[in-house]
Parts: sequence; C-alpha cells; structure tokens
Amino acid sequence: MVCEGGNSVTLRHVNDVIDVDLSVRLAGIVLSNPVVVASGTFGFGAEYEPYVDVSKLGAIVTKGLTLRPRDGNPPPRVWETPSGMLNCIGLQNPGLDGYLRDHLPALRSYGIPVIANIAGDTVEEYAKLASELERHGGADALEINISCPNVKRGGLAFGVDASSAAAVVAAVKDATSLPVIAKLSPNVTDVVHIAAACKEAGADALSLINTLLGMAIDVDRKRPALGNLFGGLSGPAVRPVAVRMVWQVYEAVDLPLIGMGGITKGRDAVEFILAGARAVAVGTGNFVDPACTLRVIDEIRDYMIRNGFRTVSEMVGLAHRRE
Amino acid sequence: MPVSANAAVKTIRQIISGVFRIVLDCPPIASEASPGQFVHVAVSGADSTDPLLRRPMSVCDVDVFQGGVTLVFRVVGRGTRELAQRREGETVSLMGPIGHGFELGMQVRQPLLVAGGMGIAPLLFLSKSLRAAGSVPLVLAGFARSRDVILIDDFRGYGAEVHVVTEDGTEGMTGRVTDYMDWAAQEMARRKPGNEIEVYACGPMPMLRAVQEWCLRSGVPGQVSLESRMACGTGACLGCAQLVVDPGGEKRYERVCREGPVFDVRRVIFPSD
Ligand SMILES: Cc1cc2nc3c(=O)[nH]c(=O)nc-3n(C[C@H](O)[C@H](O)[C@H](O)COP(=O)(O)OP(=O)(O)OC[C@H]3O[C@@H](n4cnc5c(N)ncnc54)[C@H](O)[C@@H]3O)c2cc1C
Ligand SMILES: Cc1cc2nc3c(=O)[nH]c(=O)nc-3n(C[C@H](O)[C@H](O)[C@H](O)COP(=O)(O)O)c2cc1C
Ligand code: FES
Repeated sequence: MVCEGGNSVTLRHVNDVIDVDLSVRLAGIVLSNPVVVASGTFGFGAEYEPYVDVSKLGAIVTKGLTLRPRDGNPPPRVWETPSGMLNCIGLQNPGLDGYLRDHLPALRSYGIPVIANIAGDTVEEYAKLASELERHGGADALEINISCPNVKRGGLAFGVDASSAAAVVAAVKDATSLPVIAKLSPNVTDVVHIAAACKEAGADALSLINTLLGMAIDVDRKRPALGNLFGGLSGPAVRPVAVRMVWQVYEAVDLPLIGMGGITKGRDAVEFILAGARAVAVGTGNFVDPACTLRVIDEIRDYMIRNGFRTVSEMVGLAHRRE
Repeated sequence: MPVSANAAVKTIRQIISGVFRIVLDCPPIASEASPGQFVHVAVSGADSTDPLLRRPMSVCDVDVFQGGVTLVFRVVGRGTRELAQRREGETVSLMGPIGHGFELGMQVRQPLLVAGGMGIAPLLFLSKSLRAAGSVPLVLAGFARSRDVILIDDFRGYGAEVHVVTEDGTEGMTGRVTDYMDWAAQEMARRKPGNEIEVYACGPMPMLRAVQEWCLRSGVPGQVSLESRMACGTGACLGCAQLVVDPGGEKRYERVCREGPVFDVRRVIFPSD
C-alpha cells in the first residue's frame, strides 16, 4: 500500500492488521491528514501552541491577509447565537510585510503546508498579494477569500457574482504558479454557478463555506449587537447548509473540495467527506475546544477503522453512490 | 503557558442570591495564574453545542498547595446558570491561565484598589499577592446595595483595608465608589506622606471611565481590567478587540484576551456611549 504522508497507523484487531492512511492530495499539495484549520479561527498557529501540536494538522490556513495592514471593525465583534456565533472582525490583519516578518518564520517551523488566505478590495490587489506571497515563499497554496466587497463594483462581494469571482481567480492564477483554492460564499442563490465559474477561471480546488450573513439585536441595549451591524454566522448551526453546498458542488464541478462549517467532531468531518469533501476545515470548533482539530483527526481515524476504510479517498463523495 | 484541563468541582456554594463561589481542582492553573488573569470556562456538557462558546471568568483566588482555583460569578444568562448547576465532583473544562494580568511592579507605590460589583473578583487575588509582596492595599469596594456585598471578609482575611461603598447607602459609605478616590488618596498620603499611589481597578465600564478620569486628573498611574465578548480566548479570532492609544498618539485595537484584560489606564479609549 502506498502511503503518501506517512501518517499511517497500525491497529491490531485480534489477528487483523488494519492500515489506515489519512493522507490526501489536494491541489498539488500533500496533506498528512484531511484536517486543516479554517481561516481566521486559528490566527497564525502560534496562538494555539499551548493546546495543540500544530505540526499534526493537515495544513494551516492563515488569517485573511491583505496587502496593507487593516485595523478591523469596531467592537462588539462577536456574538453568540444558538449553536453558533456571529463575527464581524473586519479582516484585521498585519498586512503582507507584517505577515512575512512576524508570522511566517514560526509558521514554517511546523513543517506542514501553509495555505495563505488572501483578500482585497480590487482584482489587482489580490493579484499583487498573490505574486508577492509566492516571491517571498509565503505560502504553499493560496486560498482566495472572495467574500470581500469589490470596491470598484459598488462594494458587492466578488463571490456573489460569477464574473467577478472568475475575474479574481483568473487574475490570481495569472499572477502565481501556486495552487489556487477559491473559497466560496454561501450568500448566493446558486453556489454551483459560482463554483463552475471559479473552475473555468482555473481554480485548483474549492473551499466551502465561508460564513452566512446574519444579524442580531441586543435587546438589552436595544441596538444591533455587532459594531458592524451584520456579521458572519458560523458554528454547528450552519453545518447542514454547508453539507448541502458541498454535496451540490461535488455533483456538478470536478474539483477537490475543502468542506467546512460547524465541524466539532470526527463524525461531522466524515459527513462532509461523504458528501464530497476531500479535506475539511475546523473553524469555530477551535474556540469551543482548543484541541478540536486533533480530536477530529483521531475520530476520523476511528471511524475509518470501524467502517473498514483504508484511505480517505475511498470515502470522498461516497454518499452519492446509487445502488 | 496556559493549559486546557478538566477540573473537578471541589466545592460550589451560593454566597449571596445569584452569586456563586466555585473552587475547581486544577493544580497547573493554580500554580501558574497571576492576579488579573482569567480562565475560559466551558459551560455546556461535552457533547452539547448550546451554549457554544466558553465564558471568561477571572481567577478570584488560588490555593497553590491544594491546587484549587476559585471563581466567583454572578448568574446573568444561560452560561452562568449552567455553571451554577455543577455539583461537587463533576468536571468543568477550563483553559488558562489566560491574559496579561496586573503588574505588581516593585511596589514602591501604595496600592489603591477600586472594585465595582463583580469586578471585585480578580482584586481579591491581587490583594493577596500585594500583601505577600509587603504592601497593605486600601480597597474601595462598590456595590449597588447592601445585599450585593461580597468577599469583604476574604479581603480582610488577607490583610487588606476595605471600605464598602453602596450606591443606595444601605451599607458603608454612600454613593459611587469613584466618589471616594480623592478621600482614599488623601488618607493614604496622610498616613505615609511622600509615598505615591497606584490604582488597580475592575468593574463596569462607566466606573472604569470615571477611574480613568480620576487617574488622569490626579496624575496617578493605574491599571484597569476590562471585559469584552470573547470567542477563542487564545488571541486567534480577534473578536475581543479594545481600542487603545500609544504614548505617540497612535490608535489601534488590542486583544482583551491577550494584551489584556488588564491595561494601563492611560491607554484605554472607552466607547462614547
Ligand atoms: C476577562 C473577563 C473576566 C470576567 N470575570 C468574571 C468574574 O470573575 N465573575 C463574573 O461573574 N463575571 C465575569 N466576567 C463576565 C462573564 O464572562 C459574563 O458574565 C458571562 O460570560 C455571561 O455568560 P452568560 O451565558 O451567563 O450570559 P449571556 O448574556 O447569555 O451570554 C451570551 C454571550 O455573551 C457573553 N457575555 C455576556 N456578558 C458578558 C460580559 N460581561 N463580559 C464578557 N462576555 C459577556 C458570554 O460570554 C456569551 O458569549 C468576566 C468577563 C471577562 C471578559
Ligand atoms: C472569527 C472568525 C474569523 C474568520 N475570518 C476569516 C477570514 O479572515 N477569511 C476567510 O476566508 N474566512 C474567515 N472566516 C470563516 C471561516 O474560515 C469558516 O469558513 C467559517 O467560519 C465556517 O466554518 P466554522 O463553522 O467551522 O467556523 C472566519 C470565521 C470566524 C468565526
Ligand atoms: S477572544 Fe479571540 S482573540 Fe480574544
């Protein structure tokens, strides 16, 4: 049996020896297991070092980066909702230079693939950031956050319009030879349409889903709960929406998918994989249990052993089978 | 380094209506924590996702030898209500100790502690540490009314001088705790002339704003412990942002869970409403 990432375990069941290979190949990079962290929920890794052996993750996805540093939105920035939360961080980040100087060296020390999540106000900004990241060895792959407002088109998010989404993906593909993952917004009428446009434009993989646009009113203060009025909903509450979208995109678009939205357990991750995701990301789950990722990896492995799967790819999209 | 641990409830007791004192068995946190730091408490059971997020709670006291971590909290919503229902022997998942706490410095200054309501919790641990470092803190402990008064005996047990202030005058001095800062400062100056003071405060935002005004007006240094809604408690999510200003005048957001919860009083920019 070929073992790509070397993260294979051997369990002894009476006389039976089961090798479980958790490694997956995604957009040209090899992950030792399918579990990565969702952008914006794990900082740059160091924040979780007290709780997690970061080198055990499939990959690390950075906080969304922009060319120049951003201050982010006024607080309150987070608000708990039933089995979920709203956030309006507003892409606070150290910018390209701050990232390369203050965070990249530590990120590299984990020895796992680094996926830089990138954002911008214009297509040109995305492209510039992509080429600069490649030039400085700042990432092994890029994840494009297309949920940002397109300043040149009246602030409408790139990700809600197929032509804008495709334009960003194409520009980033042109600007770099790094693998490009387009991260889809769920705030659209037809996610498949956007996914297909991203593939057309050259995306090597797709991440889904970003947060769902939501709002809460603080009834005690009698005002919007969040400083920015609206925020992104994440956590277990959104999982069924995310699984549905992974399912739809898997049926229609032939690209590897990274599934995310509300994963807190191995079984949640398996749900995404069976729906068609080749890898999964844990986001809000990190806030609930700082070691959530490692537990999810263990629980996926247990699931595979119990269900007789030897590789992750045997499970990808399995729920679509017609018998 | 903070840890994530399951801590058994040693004791849990309602000290006044709606306020609980819980002692958790967690030696690594008990030995690592310093005053002003907090723990991030999982209030739901392991398999429940509602309420989803952890609740930040100040370390109110520690027992290094017994490994006990004391929290004192008021039931204000679902999470604190669930926490109040834990029984002895049950476990609670904790992350901590977290954050940048109070700086005790070289203790050349006399400590004036100003507490408002539940803000008194972290000041008990601070009081104990200050006393161990050789100073006798003067504590102004403000509450709405007599039946909200908590922890006073604990402070006295640790050798602090406590003055209770209630807004309705049902116990101690009448008014807002910050109304008595001038009086406390004069009193401290009278007893130890020439000795400068330093303010340590925790309480609701309007109180902290008044503390800030007082410190700036009186030219007294101070440290304030702030609250913010939190998600991760690790510094990763940037959800707990607090606007601060550098001596150079540059403004930026810092994380209450990382650079805070205790900030130099001069640096904090309070929201206008
Ligand atoms: C650093 C720090 C230390 C604290 N120490 C103490 C303490 O020692 N004793 C004590 O009684 N309380 C303390 N608090 C406040 C305590 O965290 C809240 O009372 C608690 O989170 C309320 O949870 P709930 O589910 O009962 O209320 P809900 O209102 O139902 O909570 C809903 C959400 O809002 C958040 N939230 C609500 N009120 C606050 C608040 N005041 N501050 C931060 N988040 C809030 C909750 O964490 C949760 O995410 C502290 C807060 C901070 C930031
Ligand atoms: C606090 C917070 C910050 C986030 N920041 C980003 C970001 O910078 N870029 C991005 O593409 N997605 C960001 N996301 C979205 C997550 O990466 C993820 O797509 C979403 O939260 C769904 O997964 P979850 O339910 O597991 O959190 C953020 C989410 C949260 C909760
Ligand atoms: S709570 Fe996440 S950064 Fe402070």
